[in-house]
Amino acid sequence: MNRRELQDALDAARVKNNVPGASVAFLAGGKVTSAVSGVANVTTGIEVTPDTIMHVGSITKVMNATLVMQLVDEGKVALERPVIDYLPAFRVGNAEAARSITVEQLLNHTSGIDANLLPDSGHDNETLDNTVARFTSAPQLHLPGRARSYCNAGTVLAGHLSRRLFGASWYDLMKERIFAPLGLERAAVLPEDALLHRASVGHFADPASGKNVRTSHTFLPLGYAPAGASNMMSASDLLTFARTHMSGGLAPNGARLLSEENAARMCRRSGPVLGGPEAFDCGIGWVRGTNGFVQHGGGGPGIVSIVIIHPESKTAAVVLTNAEHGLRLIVDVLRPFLKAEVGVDPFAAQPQPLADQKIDLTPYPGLYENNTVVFDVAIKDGTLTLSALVKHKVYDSSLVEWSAPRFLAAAGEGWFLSDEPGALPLRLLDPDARGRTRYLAQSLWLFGRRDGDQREARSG
Amino acid sequence: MNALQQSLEAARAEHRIPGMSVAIVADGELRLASTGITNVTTGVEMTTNTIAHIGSITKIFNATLVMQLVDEGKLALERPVIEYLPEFRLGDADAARSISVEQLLNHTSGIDANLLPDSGHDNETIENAVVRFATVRQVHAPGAARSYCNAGTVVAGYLCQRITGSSWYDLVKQRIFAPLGMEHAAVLPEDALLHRPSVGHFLNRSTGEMVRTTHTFLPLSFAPAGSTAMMSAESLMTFLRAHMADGVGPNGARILSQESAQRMRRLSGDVKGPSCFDGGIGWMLLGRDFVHHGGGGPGIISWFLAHPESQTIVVVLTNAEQGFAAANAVIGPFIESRFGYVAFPSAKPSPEAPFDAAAYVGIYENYSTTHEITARDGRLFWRPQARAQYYDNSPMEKTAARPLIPTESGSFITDATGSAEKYPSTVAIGFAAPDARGRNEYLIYSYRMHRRRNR
Repeated sequence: MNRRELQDALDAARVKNNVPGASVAFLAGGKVTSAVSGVANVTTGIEVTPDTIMHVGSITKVMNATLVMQLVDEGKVALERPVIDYLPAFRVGNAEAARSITVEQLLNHTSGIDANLLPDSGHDNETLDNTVARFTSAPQLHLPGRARSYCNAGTVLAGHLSRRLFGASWYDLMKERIFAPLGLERAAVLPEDALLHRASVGHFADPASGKNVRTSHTFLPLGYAPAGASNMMSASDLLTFARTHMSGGLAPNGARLLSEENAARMCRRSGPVLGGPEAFDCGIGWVRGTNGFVQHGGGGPGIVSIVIIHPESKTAAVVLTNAEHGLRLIVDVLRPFLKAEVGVDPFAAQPQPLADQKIDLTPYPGLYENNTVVFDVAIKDGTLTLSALVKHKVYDSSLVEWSAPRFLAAAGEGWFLSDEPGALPLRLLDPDARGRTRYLAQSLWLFGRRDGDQREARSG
Repeated sequence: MNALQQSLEAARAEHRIPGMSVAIVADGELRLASTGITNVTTGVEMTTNTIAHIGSITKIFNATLVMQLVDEGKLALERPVIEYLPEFRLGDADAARSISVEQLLNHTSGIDANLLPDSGHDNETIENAVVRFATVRQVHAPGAARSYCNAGTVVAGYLCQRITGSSWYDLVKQRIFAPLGMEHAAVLPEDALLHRPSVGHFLNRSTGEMVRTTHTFLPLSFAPAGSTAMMSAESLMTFLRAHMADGVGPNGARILSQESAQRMRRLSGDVKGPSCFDGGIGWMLLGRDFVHHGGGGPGIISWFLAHPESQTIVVVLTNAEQGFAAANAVIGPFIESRFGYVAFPSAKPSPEAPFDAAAYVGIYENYSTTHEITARDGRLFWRPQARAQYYDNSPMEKTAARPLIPTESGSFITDATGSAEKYPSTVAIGFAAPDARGRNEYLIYSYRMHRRRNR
């Protein structure tokens, strides 16, 4: 890979997509190529450099899963065992779910615990212990193992489990068991550590002017740290971590992070899901993409990042951005380079609207929700519409009032496309006995029909 | 280049400071300057918008929160803390019953918890710090002496949390930063990341190189004592101007009653025993009606000096452990030229002054540091040892004994680096409260009393 080409592509994509700053690192043919562009913070104007640490968001989940797999390596945990075997005090709202949820289900997003995010409870209360305590009243989105929906709560619990079994704080585990052995010097998992570095901060595009505005808060609530609230790294340090996984757990510096067996296991499909709805395909920690790619994305207040690996060809890439709308830059930069290197498209084709929009709409209308968002699917003038409401403000851009309804076009097999520019496609799926869809799926999340029969799972 | 910028750059160069920022108000005019870098590792420049650690200067913010509650009739300074916090406990039960709110703020409570070892991020809450105080001892009986007391200010901050039902962090933001319009100010690490933040540095005493600290803050549970607050010199100046104007900020917002603002600057506490400094409520008091406060942290020193009557204020923020000398190089000449007053005179060594070694020899300690004084060949030697690694340069091992040199004032000075290094660091050590045999009960170092062991 040519560094100049990468730099030009990144600069162009950054300007085209109005992103303040980005950092990219590629591994291809055993060689690392990197580039940076723009500023870390529009208010201060400090430049992004190769040493700049940026939010990795939920990519942290792969590191968090690595800690659990280290416990598996050490024979301290078996993935198949119920969590309650290791944490006798483990409780969620549904007592039966608490007894049956396995360690693996925490990591492969099939636990069904409906606590995507909880409202910020204030700095001193945002501890892992307190977050786990708050889960004791969380309902289920689905029965454990029955479906797959991206589950922050499960990963927080997995982090709590690591903490308890290793007997150290989760933050220290990240530093001592991941950063230190791999020699990651541009990495911080605590805000106070991030201050030692040249650190980036998130931005939102002002809807009126299009100008990027610095976020008002740096992180999602810290009680969700194992799910990816607080972690910040340079692109090249994150690439070192990804490379270690592709090398069977062996780091470039020769340190063994994980056994070869468990590194491979993390990339394999983890489930099985017993005929239920799946919002996405998943390993342990990793998300399984198309064409042999394995990846993870990360979000946060005004940030989007990705790590993507192709184990077969030993190709990997990291893109970190400090804009809410950074995904467009990620696709623009990654797609041509990965296609050229691996020969296949790293991103699945988007569904296209059907030529014939005359379909039966009766299975779909209703309210679909998880603990943070509710969607209203309705029929207006013979067409489906969609509006959304965020239950508690998570980002500066969170809509805490109902959004104006957008029209949905059918795209086949339950897929629908909103007429809102940039909106993600969604699916309505899993019909009940009356033929009504139980779930709405968007991106990696399932939202359960309010008053649908899946609600039996909720309180148990 | 103007004179202020010149004096700042000269001070930075002479004292090897990575970055400095200054704000001066005199004759109704505000002047700002900055120089150097925020962080030797990243090389990011220090600007006048850079937020830097203010350390214990935070104690005046914390005291302001308490006085706001006094203004609101929710607290009385004279009342025992335990009336408001029934669960308040200390190692000494009598002390816990008698310590007043005012004693928390004027450093006369005697609670011996200068700092506690870091208990890990999730445990470092203000509430947990107060719980941990339940076993600490007293350096002196409440009200009997004045020894700089971080623990008292933490309890005062917790008291504000409990009375208002809001977190201390939110109180600082909502009751001070917001009304005064302090834009470049943060009291939480995560908020500091939104700005252009500075970070501390330690001087390698043999090479003169500055090395970035390994940790940004003292343990966060001591936030009300000053672990976390960071701001620009200009924002700090805004706060100080509000006090000098008896509670009204430059933007016209009143954060405190005139009565409470003035009360804070008056001498507080009728101390019969040793007093390491003159203290108001939150403020430290100097001669000629000057008030001041300094702030330290891992590799940082910041300082301000204010003259309320003439509304003259000088603020200097540095990101180096040896920053006091640099700050004083800016503050000292400016104040001396205007007032003919030397705020921080350096001790004058008097090497030949006679002394009775027996009065000093012994081991003195508080919760965080032990000082050993020994005598050899008619000279006194000092050996400090920290009980926890608060700073990268905390002396955790038994260090070499440093010779103490008598001064004209009766105290001693020494080179804290042990005289072996190219870049020395002069510190002052005093003694107080001799017993019937003339043996001093206390060693005074850094405004703090350390009590003789095995009295």
